[in-house]
Amino acid sequence: MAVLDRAIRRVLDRMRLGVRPRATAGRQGSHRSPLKAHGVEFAEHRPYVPGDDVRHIDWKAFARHGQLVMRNYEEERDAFIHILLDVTGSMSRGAPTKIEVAQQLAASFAYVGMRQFDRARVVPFADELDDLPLAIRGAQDLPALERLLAAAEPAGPTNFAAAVKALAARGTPRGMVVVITDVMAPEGWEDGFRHLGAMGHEVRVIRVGCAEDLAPTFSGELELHDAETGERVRLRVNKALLERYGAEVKKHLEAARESCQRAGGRWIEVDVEMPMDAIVKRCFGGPVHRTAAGSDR
Amino acid sequence: MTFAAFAWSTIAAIAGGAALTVLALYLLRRTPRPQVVSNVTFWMRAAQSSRPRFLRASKIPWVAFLISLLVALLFVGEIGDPRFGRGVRGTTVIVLDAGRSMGATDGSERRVDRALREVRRWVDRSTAGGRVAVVRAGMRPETLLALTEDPADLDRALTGFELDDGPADLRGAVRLADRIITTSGDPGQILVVADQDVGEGLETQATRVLVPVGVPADTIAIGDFSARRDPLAAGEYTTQVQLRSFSSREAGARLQIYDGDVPLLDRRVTLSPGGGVSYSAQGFSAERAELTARLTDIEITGSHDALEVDDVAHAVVPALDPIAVLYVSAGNPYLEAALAVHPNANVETMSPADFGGQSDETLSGYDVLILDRTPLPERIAHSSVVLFSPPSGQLGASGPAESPRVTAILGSHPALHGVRLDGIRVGRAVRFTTEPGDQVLMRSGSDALAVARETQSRRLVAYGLDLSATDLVEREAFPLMVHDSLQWAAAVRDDVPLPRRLGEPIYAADQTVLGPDGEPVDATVLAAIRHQGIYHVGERAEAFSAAIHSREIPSGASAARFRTSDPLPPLAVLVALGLLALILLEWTLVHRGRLS
Repeated sequence: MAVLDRAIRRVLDRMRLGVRPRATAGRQGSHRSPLKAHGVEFAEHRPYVPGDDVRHIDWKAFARHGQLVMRNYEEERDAFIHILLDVTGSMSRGAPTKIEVAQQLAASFAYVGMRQFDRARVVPFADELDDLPLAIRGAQDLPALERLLAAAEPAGPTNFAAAVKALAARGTPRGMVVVITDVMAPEGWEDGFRHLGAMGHEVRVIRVGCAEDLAPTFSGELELHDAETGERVRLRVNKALLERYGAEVKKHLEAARESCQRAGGRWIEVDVEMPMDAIVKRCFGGPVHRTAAGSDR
Repeated sequence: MTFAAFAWSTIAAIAGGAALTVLALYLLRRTPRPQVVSNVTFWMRAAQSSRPRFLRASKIPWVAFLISLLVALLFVGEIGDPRFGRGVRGTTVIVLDAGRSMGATDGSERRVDRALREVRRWVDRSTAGGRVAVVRAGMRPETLLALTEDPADLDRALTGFELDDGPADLRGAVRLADRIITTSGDPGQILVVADQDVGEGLETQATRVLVPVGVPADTIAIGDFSARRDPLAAGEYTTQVQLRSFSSREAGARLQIYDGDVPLLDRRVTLSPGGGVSYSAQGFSAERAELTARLTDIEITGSHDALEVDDVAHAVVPALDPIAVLYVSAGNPYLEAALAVHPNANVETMSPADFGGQSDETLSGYDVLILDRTPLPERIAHSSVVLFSPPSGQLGASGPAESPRVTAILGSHPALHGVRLDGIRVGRAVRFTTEPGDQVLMRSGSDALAVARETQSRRLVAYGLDLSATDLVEREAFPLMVHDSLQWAAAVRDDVPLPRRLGEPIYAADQTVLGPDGEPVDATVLAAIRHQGIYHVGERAEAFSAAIHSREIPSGASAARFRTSDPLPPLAVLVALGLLALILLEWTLVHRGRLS
């Protein structure tokens, strides 16, 4: 896989992606689900009622207590992993560019999801949503993923709320939504995160940042070109304005992070200048969700 | 503020050009560099929150632009050399002081050098909008440069510009400048570049502007230098030099007097503040002399001698004219000795017997006849005769007087100039009967013992003293009396002429004139001598000295008056300070980042 080199894949091979039970899907998989069905993991006993499948009566308990009780098992299901990849114009900034890091992250999430038999789907978004590509279930789907990522050129403005609405409108099943973005748009994030939370998705936001976003080094008489909209603004940039700009961006990111957390999501920040393995470890780390297989992750 | 050198159209063109330049520079400076950012919204929010409250950021570029424009206009004003006072466009006639005081050194620069700079500067600007002429204000005003529009003409005219050794006739120069403007028909101004004002009471039609040069300066000068023949020592001359200090400090100098290359006097002199001192030296014997007095090694406490031209003076002692004398006597050693010391008398001796056969024609070759105890025939009508002890009947000689006592002499008469006859003894003398017009040179009571008679055709002196019976012949006064009588009778003056004044002419006629430097002067008539020194006209030497013009160096009365009349610093300085302040303000506005 060209996007992920061998070293990264070895790191990813040790990673697992934990999904909260309520965010699992319908097929059998490796994630715990809230449903009690025909799984292998014992969950509880319950009194027998007429009509129950007699094959699940715990005869050993009946022998000890003289009452018919049924054995209930947790059903292990797979999960949908929706990877929303920001392909707006602002992702072209940074060195390496934010889109390059984001593409590797998207591929990493898809790769890990594939390995744990989840259905991962990379969905590029800008101010709208393209047609949903097919989910990746196995190694045979990786070339299609590579083509998809290669075709993701950063351009256009950001409208995250509209993208989320489009995602919901297409009947996307509940799952994990990994949003890989630089969050460098002033609006739409709170609505988008709230909507995702309301849809029952587990939200994980990977903010890919670069030094220019928070602490640019240029100054002087400048004509600023908006990488997303192409808008041009003339400014005399000096130290005071740079400080003010940094404060504005920090304030915006803090608001977006709080919106994400209110929606039950996780907020992870990475920088393009960090080593890729460190980025991967940070993105796949975090709160431990016990899996159906008993893993710590 | 004066923009006299520029027409309004020129000023407008310059100002417009400057404004366009500023606008271009402003636009160039305002052209930003492109910079791609993730999202400009955050930049806009930052700019909005950092906008100054007392002045809207959007206005600041215009304020900065207007300041730049004002700076440009002030630059234009500065180029125009702003000055307080009035200015006139059109013809400018520059009166350039070429007097001796312009040679004074103020600091390290001569006044004339600074004046030439001022002239060139004004001409460079004046010719941009009008014509200019230059009048040289020397001892005699003259037009140095006729009206022209080409600054190159001035360079040619000022090449080799020299000062006169005499004072400048500024008033005459200003009048000449006024006439030039009047005849040109254009409005104009007279620009006087001088170290003194033209004084009060001079009315001109054109406006006068004085550009003063020079500051107060000290100088030690030779105020007078002359030489004269010594009346008490025939053939010798005496020099006298007068020094003056035009300084409020103690001063000293080395005074040297030379006759050509021969030193006559070399001494150290001191001068009190503002004082003067005279020195004389006598006893120099020479047929002729060309004298130069010079002050060197001048030391003024806490200052320096600013002017060199007044440290030199010249004088000449011309050679005496030869006198052909016919001495008729039977023998008189005293008289012969007195004639022998006469430096320019060519004496020829003749006996009374031979003299009786001489005719007027043969005697006309002599300048003076001296007859000792010899009668003067009536037929001889020689114009110059000196008689000693004439026989009775001559000049009304009425007979001898025994032991007369000289009671009075006519010392004011040239024939007895400097002669003192106090207490002489006279054993015997002839009394003269005077005629109307006779002057009694020596009197004994009512008797005339010596008479001088001057008619239209003759000068005659008769001494009735018997030279063999008086002690006069043994006194120093005797040869002087003979000399003076001989000079008067021959109508010859041996007094030394005073040095001539600068500005006077030399008439060369067919003779060659050599200047002070020994170079021949290619002119038959020098209308006005400008430089002091000794000029040689043929065999004659004439000294032109500037010592008579010695006086305090003008400094500055006019300059001081200009300073006191301007309570403010020069306008150019004010404009420059304003420029600096505006540039700082504009820089502060721009670099505090308030432009948006």
